[in-house]
Amino acid sequence: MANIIFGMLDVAKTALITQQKALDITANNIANVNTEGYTRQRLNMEQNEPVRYEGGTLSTGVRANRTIQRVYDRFLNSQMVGAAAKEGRWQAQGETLEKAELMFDEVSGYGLNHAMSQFWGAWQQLSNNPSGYTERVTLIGESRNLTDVFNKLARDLNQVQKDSDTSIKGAVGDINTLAREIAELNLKIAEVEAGNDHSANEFRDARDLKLKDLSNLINLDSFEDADGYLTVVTSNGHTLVDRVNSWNLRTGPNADGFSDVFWESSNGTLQNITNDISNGKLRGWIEARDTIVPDYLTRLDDMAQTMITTVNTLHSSGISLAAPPDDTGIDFFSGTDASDIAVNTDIVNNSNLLAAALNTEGVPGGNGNAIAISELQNSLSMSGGTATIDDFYDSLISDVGGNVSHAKVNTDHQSMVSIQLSTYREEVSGVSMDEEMVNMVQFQSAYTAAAKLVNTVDEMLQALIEMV
Amino acid sequence: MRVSAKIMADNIKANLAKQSTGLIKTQMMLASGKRINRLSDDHIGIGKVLGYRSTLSTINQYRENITDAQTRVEYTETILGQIHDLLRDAKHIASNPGLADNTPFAQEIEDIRDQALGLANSKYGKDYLFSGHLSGTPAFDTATFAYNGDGGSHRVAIGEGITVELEADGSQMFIESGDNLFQVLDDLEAALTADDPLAIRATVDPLERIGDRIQIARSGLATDYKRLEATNDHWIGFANSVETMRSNVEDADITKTAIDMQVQQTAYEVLLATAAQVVQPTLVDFLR
Repeated sequence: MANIIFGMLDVAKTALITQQKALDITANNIANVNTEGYTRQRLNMEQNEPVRYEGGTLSTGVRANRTIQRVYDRFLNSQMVGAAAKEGRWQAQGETLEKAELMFDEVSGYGLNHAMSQFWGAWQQLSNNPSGYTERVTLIGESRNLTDVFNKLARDLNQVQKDSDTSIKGAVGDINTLAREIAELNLKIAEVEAGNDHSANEFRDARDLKLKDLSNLINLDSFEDADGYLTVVTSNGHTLVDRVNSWNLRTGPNADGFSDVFWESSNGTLQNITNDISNGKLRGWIEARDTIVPDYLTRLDDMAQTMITTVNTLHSSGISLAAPPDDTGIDFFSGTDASDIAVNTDIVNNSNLLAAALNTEGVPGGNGNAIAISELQNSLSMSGGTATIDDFYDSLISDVGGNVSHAKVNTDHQSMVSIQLSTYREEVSGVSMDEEMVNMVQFQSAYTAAAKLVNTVDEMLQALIEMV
Repeated sequence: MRVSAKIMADNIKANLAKQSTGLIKTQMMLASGKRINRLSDDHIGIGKVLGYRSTLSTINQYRENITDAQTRVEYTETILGQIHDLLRDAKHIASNPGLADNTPFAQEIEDIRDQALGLANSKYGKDYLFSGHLSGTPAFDTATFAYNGDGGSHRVAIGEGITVELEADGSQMFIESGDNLFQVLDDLEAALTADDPLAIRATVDPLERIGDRIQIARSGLATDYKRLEATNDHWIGFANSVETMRSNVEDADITKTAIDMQVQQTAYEVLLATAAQVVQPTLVDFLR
């Protein structure tokens, strides 16, 4: 029967070790309470198998399961990955479009709208005093201001596109790094978990984080196989990570002078996936760069073209102050679109070439042409004869603001979703200080009790020895 | 539900960000006095605002045109009035010539002729008023009295597609059925010098007819002036209503915004106070 006493010492020993182990994990949880992506861990304790003998059953204490449990909801995680992609898309698009929005500068009242009003007004001023030098010079000044605003807008919008392009190139580099890191983590996890003896909790936490970051940049599907390898696939089934291998994305120039995104296969062939990317920051930037901002530019070009043709047609049919036979009006504007519209340099150098008079009128008093040109402000010359240039621009401005607020609403919504999801995740996987403190007290008292048990057994042995 | 410290912290942070964004926005509205500080604040509103702004700016321009035209009409009218007075004096002399020596009258008529000619060749700015579109040339030749202008009139844009034509054709005012005012005055002077009563009397009728011509031109100008004035009044009224519409869309309602600001500030402070209460205690504080 004496072996029961020693058995009790053994039981106490397992208890001490196991409770200590549990305290160790509690300590780790507390230490990582603020670590991003940390998943709380739990020690699973189980009874040791008792020894049965003819006299009864001999308890053998407790032992810790070697695999430390990671308290985790896989479904929640895949939802978070999806939400990160959507949030990334709207965030990137919103930021880019906000930049474009700033360029239009209409709220302050010094944008294109103002410049156009000044331009038409200057023609009317000229009509009040068609031979006036001041009026002529003012008109040329206002016209140059107008063309400058056109040029600047075109240039600034182009810069916004270039900025997006730079971001796209940077993101492709980040995607490649993340894919490689995930592949490396795949290897580590598989190594640690081989034989199901251990769980690679810290590597899994790291891999989840990387996957979320990756998804923030580009839409992807992912699944884990039985060996713990995570496979990551992007648009059109192009693989980014498979087991311990990763594939790269590349950028290359396209027809517009920007970069397209390519997937590089194992044998080095490139496949253009630019238009297949459906989410993530890449999508946001690509959409802004290739669809939305070009639309703004096209509409500005339309306006500039209409300005150029309608004003030139009238102006070149008028009569200027130059000595006959050179008094027939010349083109007022040069250039073909918003980026290169300019006032004819001959006119800039010689204000007498402004043709204020109709060809039926005498000079210098005739002002019919100046009035006719100023009337262009009210002519329905845009959108197939349904809108004035002003109307057309106002609707462009409306759309510029509308696109930004659309992106903002979506960003707000997606970030709400992300916050909700991360709250759910925290509910499951987050470290609760209170809970850990309770656990600590619990494990500590168990540990103290086990120590007490050793004492008791010691006293029992003492008593036994004294009996001899 | 398990609530971890991170959930609370994240919630507080997210709400702080939301509240302070709202505060900043309201603050901006109060500072600028405008409801729309970025296009995206109200993209439909800003489209309208731009429309109103263009309208206001065209109205301003039309009103400037009108003011300019009014000055021109006033000036023309003064000159025509003076010429008409001179013409009346001449007519008086022609109807009642002296019986003996008419030389002083001849001298007076010569003065009248020169003065009327000078007035007819008046400039507005650097333009001759009565030369039609050929405003760079004096209207009447000082030697031959021939009209050197054309039939053009000064057009003024006073509204969308609306122009007023101000008469600038001197031949319409000072020449009637081939009788040129200055020529007639010249003839009168000659007749007075020659003491030819028949020839003197012969100038009365053309002077009368030319006088009527000038009066017709003056009444035309008066009509134009009335029209300019009425249009200007219309624009003032219209500009006021457009300005009101613009302000309704673009400007912030200061009272309402100030109250909003107060409400947001209270909410913000409540959030801060509750955050301070909630974040601090954990079980650690109560152990031992």
